[in-house]
Amino acid sequence: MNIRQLKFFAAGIGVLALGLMTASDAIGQLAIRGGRVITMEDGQELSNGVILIRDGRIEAVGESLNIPGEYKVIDATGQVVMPGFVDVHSSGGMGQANERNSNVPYLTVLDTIDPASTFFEECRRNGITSAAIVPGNSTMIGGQAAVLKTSGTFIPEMAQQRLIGLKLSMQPPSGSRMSHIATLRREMNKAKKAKAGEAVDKDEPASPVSAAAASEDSADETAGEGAGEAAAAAPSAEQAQQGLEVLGKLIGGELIAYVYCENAMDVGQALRLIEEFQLKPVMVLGRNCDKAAGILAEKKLPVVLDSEMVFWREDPRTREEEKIVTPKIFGDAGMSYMFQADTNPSRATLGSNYLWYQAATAVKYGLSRQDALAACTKLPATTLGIDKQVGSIAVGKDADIVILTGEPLATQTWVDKTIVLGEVVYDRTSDERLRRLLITGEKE
Amino acid sequence: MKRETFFAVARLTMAFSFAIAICTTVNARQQPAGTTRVIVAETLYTMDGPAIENGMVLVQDGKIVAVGKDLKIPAGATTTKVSVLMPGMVDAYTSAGVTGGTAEMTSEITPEMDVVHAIDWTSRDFKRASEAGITTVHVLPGSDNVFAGGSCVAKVAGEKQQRVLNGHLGSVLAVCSDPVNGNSSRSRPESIYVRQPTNRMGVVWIIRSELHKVANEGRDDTSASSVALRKILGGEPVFTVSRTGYDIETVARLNSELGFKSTIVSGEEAWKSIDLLKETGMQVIYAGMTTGSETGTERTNLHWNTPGKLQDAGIVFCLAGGQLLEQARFAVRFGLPEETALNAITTTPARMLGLSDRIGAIRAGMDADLVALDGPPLEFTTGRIWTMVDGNTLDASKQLSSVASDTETIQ
Repeated sequence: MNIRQLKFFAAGIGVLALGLMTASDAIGQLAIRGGRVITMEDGQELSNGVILIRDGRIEAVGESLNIPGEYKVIDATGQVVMPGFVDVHSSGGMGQANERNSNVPYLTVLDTIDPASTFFEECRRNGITSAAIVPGNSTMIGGQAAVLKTSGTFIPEMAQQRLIGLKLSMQPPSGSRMSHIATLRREMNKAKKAKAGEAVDKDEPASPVSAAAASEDSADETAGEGAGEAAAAAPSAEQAQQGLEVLGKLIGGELIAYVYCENAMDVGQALRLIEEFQLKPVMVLGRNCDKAAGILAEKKLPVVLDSEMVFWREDPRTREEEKIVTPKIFGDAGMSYMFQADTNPSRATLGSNYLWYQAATAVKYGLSRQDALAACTKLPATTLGIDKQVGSIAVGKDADIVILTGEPLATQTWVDKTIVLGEVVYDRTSDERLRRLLITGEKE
Repeated sequence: MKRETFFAVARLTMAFSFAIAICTTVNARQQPAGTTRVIVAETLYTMDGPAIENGMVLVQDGKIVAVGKDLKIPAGATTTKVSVLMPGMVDAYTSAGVTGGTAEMTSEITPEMDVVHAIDWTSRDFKRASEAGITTVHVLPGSDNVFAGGSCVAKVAGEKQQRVLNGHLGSVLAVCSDPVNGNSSRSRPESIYVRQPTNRMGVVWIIRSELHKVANEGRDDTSASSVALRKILGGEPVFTVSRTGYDIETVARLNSELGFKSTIVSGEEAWKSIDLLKETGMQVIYAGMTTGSETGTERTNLHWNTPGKLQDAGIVFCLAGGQLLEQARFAVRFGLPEETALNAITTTPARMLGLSDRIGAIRAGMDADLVALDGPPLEFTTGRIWTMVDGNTLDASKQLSSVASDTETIQ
């Protein structure tokens, strides 16, 4: 063995040792001490809390806990410790959020999510540890939504709930609302029949294709098509069957129906469908749903506000502009609501691409801090039915924790560390991309 | 109805609706002349010294007449209590109120044109600005012409006569790719559609040749364009729209070669030119704050803490381009000291626009342009309550009236 080989050998050992070390961190025991712990359990706060973590779960939480010697310790003195944020609705991390085919309950976001996309990196940087990834808003019956941990290299290790619900869109992709609603209702009825064991009429078109998509598809067919186009044109009998089964699970509320409403009139239609088919909805609201605040408050349905929460609306007659502030309108209606971040930020974006910023904006317009924090933790966890695992710091829950440098929602507070299942997946001190953006290093 | 009567009625109706229209657009609570208004703030940011706890501001006839603690309140004064009070913000880079085209497209050299003539004073831009706490705007003509024209400084509300603080503050130049956009090198030279320049070299060539021409031809050429160009050489303020690092370098070169001094407008890649800006003393009206895309206009590379870096190097800069308070908050988050951030949206732009004796700070003798907030200015959770321009409280926030503190009491 010459020197060169020896070097390689030594390097190999080093890598192996490093690998073992990180592996032992991942499955080992961790303690977070010294910080102010906002548990999000009944408003409980510990001024000098200790959290013990074992095998990815929270083992103990308290103010004067002994930390056994084998626990690796994170000192959070002067910092704030919170449960990791839960994103209740996001279309991030996907190459394309919408399908050309308007009826695709058999497709799943799991097949299009790229774990390496900057979306998940941004999630970790901003304290989000669980995210419900939901198909886009312009597909009538969009694909299956899933809840993912925001750290991992491949989907199987990230998936927390592989199938949590389906997206239904009340917004017609083209053509009239009448036919859109009729088609949606017909598909729901088919699923209802199939669920009850009745035969589904074979003569019915298996899948309505939106007018725009249909014209594109006819061109594809003549040109000869790959597997992708074939799927877009019409599902196979097997896919249609699978789709009906999943759709059937919406009926009665076994799965969540993410119902996208573009404007207030859509909310009315959606409420009828929800009642008719006994859906368990999460109302995903477009900007112009503010007029439906009253009825939504009355029905006490979970609501996700549009990422653009403050905007100007022109009166069609007088052309006077009015400033619309949705958190204020929905807050005044006496209802709780959740936020979503803008997953397609532009050069002009100033903050709305962060979930915590949306919460701060809601506080600006009257929401209490406690409710704003709950809307990023406990409330989405409960809404998604994963509150046994995430959404607060409590014994037995997933060790999904975010350590903040200071008061939550404050201008100069940053996420210092993000922990997913007991593993530190984000550390600000080693965030090279952030360092570059802030140019804290030497001149480039 | 007789014909004359009909017209008389019609005229009257028109006059009436016009009056109503004026009332609704002005939308301000006019303060009767002579009465004094007292605003008491738990924290008063004067931007003219340290913040004052329980500070008072006396306003009369659109001006600030006294500032301090425990001032004597004149009889009959109206008192308003607020949590936080700061000067109205100054946005040094806007196209507020300019509707339709922002550049004269028949020529790329229009130094004699003034944007003040293109401003619709009832434009909703002004309402949006005042809703964001901005009380003064610097309006620039569009950057599609190399010599874009004259800029203008105006208040966001009030009667037109008093609104314009400076109808021609300075000349605007575009040293960027904007004048090139849409121009094709393939058009026939004699075509009426042909427009120069078609690339960046052309932009520089136009500036150089035009300014050389007026410098050498002397005073004989009295065309409006030449007179305007001579003003640039004569030392009037020049605002040059430049974003990329290499365009900023070009501006520095043109400045020293032709003997004028530019303020850089936009300056998205100013972080690349820190040393040069420091050396030349050029000031920057910075409009590159974002949290979204890191790629700006002209594919510039945006860095979050550019304001902090400019501050560290001692370069005079302000934040501009709308949402000033939010920009300042993010600038602080990214590394700018709080005091500099507040200066960068009030006193600094006021000074850069040559109006520091009237706007940007709360001091006796200055215009009563004020913004009331419900908490610390630089926190994301703080909301605006009202904006005052020349002593008139703008009532544009009806939407938020329940948040607003209607604590006005007649003493």
